[in-house]
Amino acid sequence: MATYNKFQDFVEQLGLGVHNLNTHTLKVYLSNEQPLVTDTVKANIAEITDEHGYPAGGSDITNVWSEASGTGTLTGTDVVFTASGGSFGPFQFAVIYNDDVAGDPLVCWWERATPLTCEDTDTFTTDFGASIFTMGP
Amino acid sequence: MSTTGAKFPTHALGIDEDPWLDEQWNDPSNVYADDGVTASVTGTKFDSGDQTYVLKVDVFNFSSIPDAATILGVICRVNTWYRSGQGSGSMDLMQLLNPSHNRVGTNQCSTPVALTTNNTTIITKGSSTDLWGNALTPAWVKNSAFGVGLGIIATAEDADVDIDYVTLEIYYTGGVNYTLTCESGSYSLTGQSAALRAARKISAVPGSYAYAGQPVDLKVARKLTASPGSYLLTGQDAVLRAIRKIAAAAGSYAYTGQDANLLLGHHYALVCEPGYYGEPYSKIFVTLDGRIYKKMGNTYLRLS
Repeated sequence: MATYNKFQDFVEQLGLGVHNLNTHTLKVYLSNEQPLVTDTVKANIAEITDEHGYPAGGSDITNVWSEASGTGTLTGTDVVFTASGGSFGPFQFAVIYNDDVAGDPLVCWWERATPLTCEDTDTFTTDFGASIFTMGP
Repeated sequence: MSTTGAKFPTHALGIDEDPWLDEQWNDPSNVYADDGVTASVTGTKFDSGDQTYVLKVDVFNFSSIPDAATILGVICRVNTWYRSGQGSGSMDLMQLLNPSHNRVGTNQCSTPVALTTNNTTIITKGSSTDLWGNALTPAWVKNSAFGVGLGIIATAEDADVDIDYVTLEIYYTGGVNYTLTCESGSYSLTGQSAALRAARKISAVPGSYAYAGQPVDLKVARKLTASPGSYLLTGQDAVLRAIRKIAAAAGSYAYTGQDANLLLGHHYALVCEPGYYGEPYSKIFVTLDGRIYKKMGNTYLRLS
């Protein structure tokens, strides 16, 4: 299972009211550049070329923010990228950012053990499980 | 490009198919593993020009190949030899089987490959890009009937031939489903203790109240206006002390005191405005240039 990694700036922007985790469109995109915890916006981490089924900017994770017993939870729908007519990649990182805020501020990222190139008809799925992250006591 | 790696079969059978119909295989199932235990043809009538039955090996496990993959090539490896002093032989059939268990496509040994007596000899045919003349698909190669048909022709009298094992390896691309299972993150919200202090308003009804307490020293606070810059302020505390006003009620008061000698300068004169002064003029003396004068009316009388 890929470890959840935090961008430091996300916490600041959350406190400043930049992110609305329920109504804003969060997207996941693929990169082969190592993210840094100090990165702040999507432009800091190069996205792979949009080709053969991989769309520019990545894909909407259909995020939902909810609260229960004092704990907030961000959930998302698994995203499947399907190579078609050729390959895309290589990539090693899946990064989430807020597409509805100017500058595309970053949220978090995960890392594959090795870089991967999806060949024609291959699929790559980001499986978010029960939640992307929780916030609370 | 991906590969299944070399896979062993789990089923084998000798079938007579023209022209491979002279000698049946002994123990076909011994080709399932690289263990030195062989399938063989050892009949005394396996003479030059005779051919073994077709040894059809199948039921490989290629389930790891994605259904949407593209098959790129197949490699077959056969560990086979002939027994020293027991004639000789050549492999003259190596052809893939379709889902109907029929031989189809290219016979990789249409030009027979001579066996040796070395039991480590491996005949390898095909490549990562060789489909053996077939339009192979994942469904085809994953079918249990898919496999390879093998045959050996004797090249000397009374040949004995062995096959220890057979493997197939398939190369393919695409159709692989990769999943990045994302671990959930968490953020903790923590805070500091807060000291809460109450301020209470005291309300009082109209009436008389006795207040007791200490005198209050009021100190002046001056407003200091200064231009921008740095200043060092020093000094003592200022203490303001009250000046009391003495008020007297109307009435008569007796004043006592000493006579006053007024010393005047050379050109000065003491001029009194008309009115009552309460003291006899005779008591007023003026000393000027060492001489004493007494005021008489509006003039001064020199006395000495």
